[in-house]
Amino acid sequence: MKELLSVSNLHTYFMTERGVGKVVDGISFRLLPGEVLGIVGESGSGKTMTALSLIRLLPPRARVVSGRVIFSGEDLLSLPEHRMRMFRGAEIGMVFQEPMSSLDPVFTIGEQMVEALRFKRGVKGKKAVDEALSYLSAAGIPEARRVFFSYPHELSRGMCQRAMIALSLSLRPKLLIADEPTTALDVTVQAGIIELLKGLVSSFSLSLIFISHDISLVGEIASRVLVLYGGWAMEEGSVDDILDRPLHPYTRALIAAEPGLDGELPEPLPGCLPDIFIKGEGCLFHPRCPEGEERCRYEIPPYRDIGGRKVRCFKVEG
Amino acid sequence: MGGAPLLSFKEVSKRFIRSGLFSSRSQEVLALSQVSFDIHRGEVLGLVGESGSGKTTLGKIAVGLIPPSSGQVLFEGKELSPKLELGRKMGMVFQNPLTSLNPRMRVGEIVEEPLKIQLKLSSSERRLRLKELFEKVGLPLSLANCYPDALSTGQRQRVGIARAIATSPRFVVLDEPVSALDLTVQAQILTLLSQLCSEFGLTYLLISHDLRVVAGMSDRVVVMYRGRVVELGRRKEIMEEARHPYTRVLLNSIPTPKGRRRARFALAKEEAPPLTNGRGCPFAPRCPEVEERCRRETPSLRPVSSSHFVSCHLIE
Repeated sequence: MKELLSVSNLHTYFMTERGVGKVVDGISFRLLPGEVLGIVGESGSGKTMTALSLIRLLPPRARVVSGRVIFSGEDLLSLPEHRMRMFRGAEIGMVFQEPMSSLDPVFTIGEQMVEALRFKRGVKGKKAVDEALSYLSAAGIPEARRVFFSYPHELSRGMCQRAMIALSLSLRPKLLIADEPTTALDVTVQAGIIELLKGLVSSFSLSLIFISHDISLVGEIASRVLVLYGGWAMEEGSVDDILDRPLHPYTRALIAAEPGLDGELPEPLPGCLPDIFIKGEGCLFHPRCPEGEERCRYEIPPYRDIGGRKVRCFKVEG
Repeated sequence: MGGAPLLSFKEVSKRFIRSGLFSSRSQEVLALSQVSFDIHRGEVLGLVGESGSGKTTLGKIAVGLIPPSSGQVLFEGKELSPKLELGRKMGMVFQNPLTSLNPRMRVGEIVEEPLKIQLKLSSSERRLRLKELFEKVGLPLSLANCYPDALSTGQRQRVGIARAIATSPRFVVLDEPVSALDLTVQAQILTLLSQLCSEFGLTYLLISHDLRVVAGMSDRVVVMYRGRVVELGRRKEIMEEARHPYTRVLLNSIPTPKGRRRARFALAKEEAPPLTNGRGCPFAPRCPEVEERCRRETPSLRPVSSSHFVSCHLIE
């Protein structure tokens, strides 16, 4: 099948007084139509910056310095800004962590949806209102009409997130990027949003990039998982491979840090992420790695293809 | 667990008056309704519920930060004297480590403050104790001169913990101590809290919306819904033999890899309807197993075993 998105050797750097911070340091991945890719890693691993690089919404001091992003045949990084604006939303939708701050507080949900429909898809008047209402219902909102006439502050966070998903969906994107969409929510609401996203992927034949620090949450929805650490891709494979047969010590540490219900404390991974401004020699993970050896400290392990999956570690045979 | 409880809630209720900024109407909100349970010496009691269930309010009442509207809180058999106990015999760790640390104080000063105010230690004694505390919570002493914003979230939470245990309290309320943290850092902090608990013989009230956080550490678990205790029992009783429909919904909401979610047991309604002081079980509007009687009568907490209590009409 022809891929929908291909990211190759993406480098995004922060340019600051402290120097150059390599937040995304040579990340490559591909996404097929209808596929759900989970991106997992600790905060600071480069998950969000990778996503923002794709849609070119980086914070002022961050810049994509090299790499290619091809989305259905178009090179997104060389597209002029006015064309990129039409891509955002209409081709690639985005749902962020904090639903309250991604919606405009001075307009009702309905006004925001109708405006987006007119601007991105040219749908106007009563048709736009009807479409907005039907997408609100599709997002699992029982009282679509009430939500349509509500301001964001009148709704709960879970409801806002559903409205945000409805808005993104109404522009009929081929790809939706959901960045920690359930992190600020209660567990019961979180479970509802995950079920909703799973349903939408199949009913709208949507591709989804789902970003989270919680590897079991990613495992619930993704078909393929990409593990990031300090701006590097560490491992990539099918959800079964990553969760049942993880190859990289970091992936294993992420799984072990997952709390369970059995009355055992999760196993902590000591230390913290490397400083992106001073990346030393060798493997970025070696200071925290329980299995590191001498050469991990001086040589950068290559990102290798091993039987249909990828991993960056010297210890893995193949 | 023998002996008198360390802390007891006796029919504690809390009402807040909510008045709109632009409206003259004021509305009474019942945040806690007739909450009664004991916390035993040396135990970790987990308190679970979604936002709005009253768990933070109960935590604040436990340490005397706010008074109950009615009912009693007994600490070591005596009625809690507000503010006196907090800081000397009790400590509290808050959810957001950035907003609960004064941004204009160096972290060393933050941890030293209770030593100065509560224990009236001299500055050389304080230095010594500070060194000891930083060691206990795993912070390098070199950070003592930094401001909180220079620290990572995990380090800030360690500062919050050092401050809470500075005066060697017996009882510590942990209000969502790890919910702002990455899972890897969460595991570090939970391990630290568990070490401190056994080393100093602390008693914890561990508040979280996530059953997984509570499961790893708690001896007993209390589940709250809309200001009421709906289920209470030993960890195993709650995690493996939960009886209340709400507890089972919470257990089902836990992410399990690869969509192997236990047979879906979902809420009839995702959003809780507004609080009313009316009759009936507060969970009835969202309960997947609701019966006619649930809407008429409010259930009370009844035992299903010597240590396991449930408030539900469906349990006979």
